[in-house]
Amino acid sequence: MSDKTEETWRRDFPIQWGADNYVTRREFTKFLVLVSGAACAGNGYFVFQKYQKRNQSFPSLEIGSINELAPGQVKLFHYPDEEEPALLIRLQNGEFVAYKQHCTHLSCPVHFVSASSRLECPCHNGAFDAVNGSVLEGPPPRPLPRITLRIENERIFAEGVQGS
Amino acid sequence: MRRPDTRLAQLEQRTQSVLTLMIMALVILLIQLWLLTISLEEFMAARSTLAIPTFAASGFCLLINLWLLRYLNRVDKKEDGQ
Repeated sequence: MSDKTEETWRRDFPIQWGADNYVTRREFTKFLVLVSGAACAGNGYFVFQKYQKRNQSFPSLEIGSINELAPGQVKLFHYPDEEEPALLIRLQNGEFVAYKQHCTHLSCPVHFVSASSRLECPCHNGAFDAVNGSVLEGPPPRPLPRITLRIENERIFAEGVQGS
Repeated sequence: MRRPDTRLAQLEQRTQSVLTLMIMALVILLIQLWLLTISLEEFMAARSTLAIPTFAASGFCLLINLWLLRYLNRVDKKEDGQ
């Protein structure tokens, strides 16, 4: 291509790569600042949740009686609302404990294995200690949320959720 | 009227300045995303001790980014005024 032809081409299409790069990078920097604001707002959301949770109250719900379950048996109930399945377990020593049924890994339902006194998740072989809900093995990153119980006149009441 | 090569050189300089600002904003944003993951992990574990410190740190990062944006706009206006 001769110099004269190239000059004609440049006159017809006067695009400067430098100017184009400048505008692109400037606009991208502005976009980054916008995303930065969104990230800060995200952090603010968790602060908001912190204060909202502090004021959160759980209902007191009767979930059964102590004669309903023999040691090693389990009962399914829902707490604090109908969409939250939970397990009431009577341990071999006669003590009652209750946990939310969702595995802390990917929310598969856990089931109680009386022989080993564990709550096991069939999806990825996670296991929790039935005594305190702590992780024994597998991928779950956190213990099972524990439901606070109160026993009054042989009746069992759910009173709140710890670690949810 | 300025010569085209001078104008191009100035444009190149401005582009480099913007590139530097862009990299700084990007690094700060990565720090903010890291802070956000810390908050999220705390929230999922039903803890909230780090919620306020991470929010404060993220707010500080946002202030730096806003200062960078102000600086960028000032560079723009300065160049347009010439």
